[in-house]
This record gives sequence, structure tokens and C-alpha cells, in this order.
Amino acid sequence: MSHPRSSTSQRFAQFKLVLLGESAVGKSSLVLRFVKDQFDDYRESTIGAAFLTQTIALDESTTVKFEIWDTAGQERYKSLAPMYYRNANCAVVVYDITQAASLDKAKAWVKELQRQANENIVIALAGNKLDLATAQPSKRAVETAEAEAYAREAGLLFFETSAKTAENVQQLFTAIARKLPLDQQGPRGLRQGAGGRGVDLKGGAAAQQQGCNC
Amino acid sequence: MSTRKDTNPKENTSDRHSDLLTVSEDYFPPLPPRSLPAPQLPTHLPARPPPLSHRASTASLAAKATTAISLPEGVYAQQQDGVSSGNASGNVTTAPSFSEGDAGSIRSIAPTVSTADGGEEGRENLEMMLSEILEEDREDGILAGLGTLRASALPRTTTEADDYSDLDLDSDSESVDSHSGDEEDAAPEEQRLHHFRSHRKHFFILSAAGKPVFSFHGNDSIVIPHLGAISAIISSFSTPSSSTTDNLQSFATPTTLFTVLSLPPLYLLATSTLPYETPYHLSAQLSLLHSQILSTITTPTLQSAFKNRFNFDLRRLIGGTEPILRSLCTHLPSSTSHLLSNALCILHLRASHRRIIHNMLIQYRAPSLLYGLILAPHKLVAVCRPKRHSLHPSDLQLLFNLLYNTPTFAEVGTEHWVPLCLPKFNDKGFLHVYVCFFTEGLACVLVSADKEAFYQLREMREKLVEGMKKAGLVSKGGHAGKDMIIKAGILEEKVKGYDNPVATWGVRHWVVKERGLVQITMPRCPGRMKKKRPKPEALSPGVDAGQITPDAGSSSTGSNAADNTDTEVDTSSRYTSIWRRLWTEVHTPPTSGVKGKIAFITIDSPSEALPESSSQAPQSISKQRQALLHVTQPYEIYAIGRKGVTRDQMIRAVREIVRWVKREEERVWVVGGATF
Ligand SMILES: Nc1nc2c(ncn2[C@@H]2O[C@H](COP(=O)(O)OP(=O)(O)O)[C@@H](O)[C@H]2O)c(=O)[nH]1
Ligand SMILES: [Mg+2]
Repeated sequence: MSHPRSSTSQRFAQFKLVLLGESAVGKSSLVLRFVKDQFDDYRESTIGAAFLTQTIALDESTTVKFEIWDTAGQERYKSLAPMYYRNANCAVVVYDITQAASLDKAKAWVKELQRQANENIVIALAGNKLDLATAQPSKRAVETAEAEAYAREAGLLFFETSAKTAENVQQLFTAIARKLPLDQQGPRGLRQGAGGRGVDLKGGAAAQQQGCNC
Repeated sequence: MSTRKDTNPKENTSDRHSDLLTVSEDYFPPLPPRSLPAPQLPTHLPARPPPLSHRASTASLAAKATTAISLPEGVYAQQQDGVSSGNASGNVTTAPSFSEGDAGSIRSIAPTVSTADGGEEGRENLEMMLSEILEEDREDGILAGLGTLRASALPRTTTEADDYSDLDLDSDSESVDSHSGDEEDAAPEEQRLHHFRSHRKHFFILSAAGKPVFSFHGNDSIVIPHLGAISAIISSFSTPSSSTTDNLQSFATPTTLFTVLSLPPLYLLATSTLPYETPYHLSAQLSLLHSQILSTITTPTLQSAFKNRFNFDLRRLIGGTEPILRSLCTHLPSSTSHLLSNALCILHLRASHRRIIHNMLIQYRAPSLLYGLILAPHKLVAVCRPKRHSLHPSDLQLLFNLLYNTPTFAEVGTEHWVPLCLPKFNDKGFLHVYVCFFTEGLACVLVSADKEAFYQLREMREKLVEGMKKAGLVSKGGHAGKDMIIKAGILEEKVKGYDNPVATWGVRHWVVKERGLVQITMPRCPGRMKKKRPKPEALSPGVDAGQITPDAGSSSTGSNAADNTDTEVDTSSRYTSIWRRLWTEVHTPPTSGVKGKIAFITIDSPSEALPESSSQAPQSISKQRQALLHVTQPYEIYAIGRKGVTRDQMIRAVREIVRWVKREEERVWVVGGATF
């Protein structure tokens, strides 16, 4: 599936990313912004999960491909979530800065990830719909400082984003890519059969073996 | 190869399982008995306006049309009702593909099955899945509102209903108003109420406690005041009935038909002011809505949600699927496929081309594949399936609605992995469906019982699409739209297939249903509209001068699939109302025409103009138009003539159509599909 660059000076890595968070906080919108640079005001709820890919250039010699699972966030799908984060290298946990309860949900997801997901998983917390608070400060229900403090404490990357205006969206994903272990093997225990596909670092053949705990 | 999960025995087990898995046939519901029952047609449908209180029996109304005929070797005709699903339950828990700890699996959500190795655990898992939701079980005061309701708040008929004719094809009227919540939200109360009541059709789903589950129109503040009335209607029917299947009741006021479908713990109510909609039609629509809910949460989940929680708010479980329910409400009343027993519409395709795709479906079949489907907008291109299992028309109807009537999946390049229950296949568990629109309008749908199968199905899709491109069946070009269609299919359909013969037969439009296969074929709708409803003056007055509209026949070979979808739905709704009228003629004694076999209707009033007639000069339409339904052993043929074409000529035309369909048999039907 992957066609890594053959040149030895080029690094190509592939990561699995999962988006989690309450329904309607803007997970799909963030992905749509990231992958297609579009925004849709009347987006319908995700049913099940959507799978997308996006490749970004970190620098001249490094290309990172994200395989993205955009989950639905509805309660009835809760039990299926482990399937999506089980082999993930990174996760974006999203809340809506105009809905205080959505941060609680996000915290619960972070907890679950830290307990159940890959040990080395890179987690980013995204407070979405920043544009709403920018336009109308009274709409903000979660203070930046509060969320930031929590993120620091929990060891998460943190951004306030707007899928609508694109603010901080690219930055969010780039920061994740930079934090991912490009030079070491990332995820553990991934198998082809399970669809796991961790860092696939060509040009550094040793890295292929290195991190494998098999 | 250890993962941190190894410390978690459940996960570990599931991994081991999924490595070993292949689909076990035992898991699936058995085939129904091999039989070809004569279609049993309802015999006592009320003519409109029907008597004030009509109690229809499900025996004749609810069950028949969608599964009128079973032909086990056919792909879609299989009848599977609750009975056979029930039989399957004993096997469900032993399905190897469902791991423990997976509340979404068939195994664990079958708490009603208590076999030694799965029942109890299943119950636990289900509780786990629902716990968060069930714990809260809040009382949100909806019931409090019920007392204040008056019967006069019935979701009554519209003011214009009396002079409305469903053949007034130039107006907006036939297409069922789609949901317009935003409008309603913004408008003042009075206006919203008026707007709410002005809809021609309403659909409500309520729980036994009278809690709203779904309403086609209106938001809570509009709907809740009506709930008392709705509950009253429903409960007036829910006296214990002699037979358990007698769960459909219907009555009519002079303008409005009410039909209730009681499927505890849910109650479904439809109202209609559309002419020629009978209790049968409303019940078929309601039953598909019910299936949609099951498709989201399965029967065991539905049952257990209300068990000991009379007041449970089901909206919390079906959240996010309202647009799907709404699109059913919007599209079913005008869907020819739905009207004709959810018959599957087949893409006209050269047999050798279909064979290539069928062969590839088998060749590239992923180990855990259950069903593989290639779909064009609202049409089946190819299917593969296990020898012993077929797909039920109503399950396919739900799938088509999901894929083509909602924008959720249609985006090219996004892949989807969706737990979905196909209720007629097995209402007790989820299947997992891989959906990918690999080019505009064309979808690859791969169904598995294994929730971990995503990557293998994805690989299968890659090979399939690559193969179809190599075979020249799908354009290799990178640009979207235009020629990115299964070329052979579309070309044949336009050039050879339908349009030219139709033009010479004096027939405006027709549909043929293969009754045994439960499949339909029809030409592209003539007089199709642009996306925006054309203004009267934009229509050429000469269009009906004996020629098919240029739009439908020639040029625009590569018109894009999405366009076709919109426009065909739009125009076909006008024809559907005529098909429905014919259907009602044939199924309602005393019937006109030859008994039970053929029915004619004449469409001649000014308001009964067909799409191509300009509304600017309705009076100038002097000649009548005939429409006919001919029921034969293998077929039902529906046809609308061009103006001035006589009944004799129509009968001759129908013979031509039948001859054509027989000649094209291999291209218009899919018999069996690819099996493995
Ligand atoms: N104003 C604003 N609205 C947004 C933003 N992101 C998403 N939305 C809207 O929020 C709703 C839910 O978004 P969606 O992406 O479907 O949320 P999901 O359920 O988490 O995937 C949609 O109506 C979006 O248009 C944002 O950054 N700003
Ligand atoms: Mg979403």
C-alpha cells in the first residue's frame, strides 16, 4: 500500500491517527480541513468510522503519511473504539470550546487512551470552534488556560483550532508529526494482519527492526 | 509479537479468534423453504376516500409486497422474515467471528439467546455498551406535556389537500417535502405550527411511553404538543388483537389517511394526503423506517433498552441517524423501487462486462467477505455472495438509501467502515460494511461479519478497482465526473438500451418488474429536469411532439452520476404516483380493466400534465394519455403512453417492451450473481 521514496536521503513515515471526542465537536470537520482544505457548515454525523489519508512534508527530506480514523463519537459505537485506537500511533482528542461538557468527554478519552492504547501514543488535545469564541467571546465555555493546564499535566499537545477558518489545523497535525518518533520505530506489536502499520521508515533499514518487541 | 494488550485477556482472545476466522455458514439464517407462492394481493384496500375507520389486517397489507415472491436461486428474492431470523439465533452465539468484549458484535448483543457459551456474557456486554446511556435514564418532562393535548391538534391535513392532484406534475406537490428544520426553527411559533401542519406527509415514531423517537417534520416544540393526539390515535388501536400479526391499523378522514404500525416497544404513525396512497403503501414505508432503526441498533438492543426502562429516550441510541430516517421519509413515497416491493434496480450492462466484474469479485475475494456489491446510483452493477445466502430487497433498499440519499458516504476518496445490521438478514447482530465510492456515483460495498476485516476488504477494493480499470470498465482518467462511470453500462443504457425503442413505441415511460427476482428495469426518466426546477417558459412546448426529450436520449453521454441521481429521483416521483395509482387499481376490487391482470387509467385533466407539458398552456392539452399496468406471470409492466396513443396501441407497445426485455434478459437482470 505504501510506496516509499527510494532515495536514501528521503525519509518516509506512515502513522495511524485516530480522532476521538464527543459527537458534533468537529472531528470530521478538522479532518476535512486537514485533508481537503474544505469546510462544510451542514456536515452530517459520521456513521461508523471514516478512513482517510493525508501526506504532509515535514521538511525537504521528510514525508509523513497519516492514515486517519475519524470515529463517530456516538455512544452506540463506544465499544468499537478500541478497534480504532488499538494500533494508533497518535490521537487527536477533540472538544468544543463552547461546550464545557465536551472537555469532560475528552478527558475521559485521554484516560482511556493512556490506559488502553499504545504506550508511546502521541496525544493531542484540540479545542475546536475557536472561531465562535473569537467572534463572540461570551460563547467560550472552556478557558484556554484551563485546558492548557490540563494538557500539560496529562502530557498532551494542545491547540485551540477552528476547522471553519483553518486556524491551527495544519499546525496541529504538523506538531503531531514532529513529535512522532521518526528515527526510532514507533508502535509496538503491530502486525500486517491486523492492519497495523507503524512507522515505515525507509532509508534507515535498521529502524524497521529496532522497535519491534516481538 | 506481543502487544500491551496481552495483559488483557479479552483482547488477546479476540485477536486469536480473528486470526482463525472464516465465515461460518451456520451463523447465517437458513434459507426459506423453496417455494414460489402466488403473490397474494391485498383484496380490501379502501378506495379513497376510504371509510372513516378502516382496520386493515397485516396479513394482507403489511407483509406481502416486499417479499411477494421467493426464488431461492435468485439473488434478491429471498424471503426472510422474523421467523427465519429467529431460527438463526441459536447459531448466532456460536459465530466464531465475534470476539468477546465486543458489544457491537452479533454474539454479544444477542442476550436473548442463552446458550452456555455466550448468552450470559452477551447480556453483560450489552449492558456494558448501554450502561452509560441507560444509567442516566432521565425524565425530561416530555410526558408532562402529554396531558395538555387536544385531539384537534391532530397532524391534520393540509388546506390545499382537496384540490391537490398528485398528477399535477408541474407543481412541487408530488415530491414529498423534505425536512426543513432550520426554517422551522427560525420562524415564529405560529408560523412554524402552520408550516408543520401544511406537510402532506408525516411520519412519527414513538416509544410505548409516548416518548418521541423520530418525527419527519418539526422540532420538539412543535411535535411534543402533538404527541398526546398521536398517542391517542395509537392507543385507540392497541386493543389486544386476535392475532399477533395484526399490528397495522389504518383509518382515514376525508382528506387524510392515518396508518399505525405497532411493533412494540415502538409505534410508528404515518399520515398522508397524497391521493392513491393506501394503508399498504404507508405501512411499507413505516416498516422500512422501523428496519432502519433496527439497522442502527439491532432488535436485542432495542428490546433491552426499554426493558425495565419504560421511559427510555431512544434518541440517545439512534443519534446521528435522523438524516437517514428523514431521507427515507423524503424518498420512499416517490421511489419506484420501493413501491414495487423494494425491487432492486439493475444497471443495464453487457453480460460479458458484468461477467468480468463478477469474476473479479470472486478472484479477489477477501477471506472474510460475506457479500460484495458494486453499485451505481440507485442501481446494482454486480454482486457476489455465499451460495446459500441472498440479500433481502428491503435490506438493500436501506443500503441504497444510506449510500445514495444521504451525503454521508458519497465523497470520493473517503473510505467507511460501518457496523450495520441488515434486519432481514439477521436482526440480532451487526455486520461490518466497507464502503468506498471509488469514483463519482460508483460504490464498492464489501460486507463482512468480522469487525477487524477493514484492511483486507480495503485491499480487495483496491484490486477490484484496478481490475475494472484494466478491463476498461472504469475510466482510468484522473478527473472526476464525466467519463468516470462504468462506461459500458451507461453507453449501452443510453444508446441501445431503452431510449430509442421507447421513442418508437409511443410510450413515454415504463418500468418492468421481474417478479421472481424482485428486480426492476426502466429507461432513464424522460423529460428529466435540471437540478433546479425549470421555469415553465424554459420548457420547450414542442418537446412532446412525438420525440423523446433530447435530454434523455442523446448527447451528454458523460453526464455525471450525481446529476443523474438528483434528476431521476426528481422526475421519477411524478411517474411513481402514476404507478401507484395503477397498482391500487389492480389491487383494489372492483377493478377496471381485465380482472387483476391489466389496468388502464386515463390521464386527461389539465392538472394532470406530464413533466414535459408546459404549465403555461394546460388547456391546450387536448389529447388524453393512457397509463397501463399489465401483470403477467414473470412480469409487472407499467407504462405511460404519449398523448393520443390509444389503449390498443399501448397494449402493442407493452408487448414490444416485453420482447425487448426478454431479448436483453442477460443485461437487464442479475440472476444469481457470483457465488462462492
Ligand atoms: N463554527 C464552527 N463550526 C464548526 C467547526 N468545526 C465543526 N463545526 C460544525 O460543527 C458541527 C459538527 O461538526 P462535525 O465535524 O460533524 O463533528 P463530529 O461529530 O465531531 O465529526 C457541524 O455543523 C460543523 O459545521 C468550527 O471550527 N467552527
Ligand atoms: Mg464526525
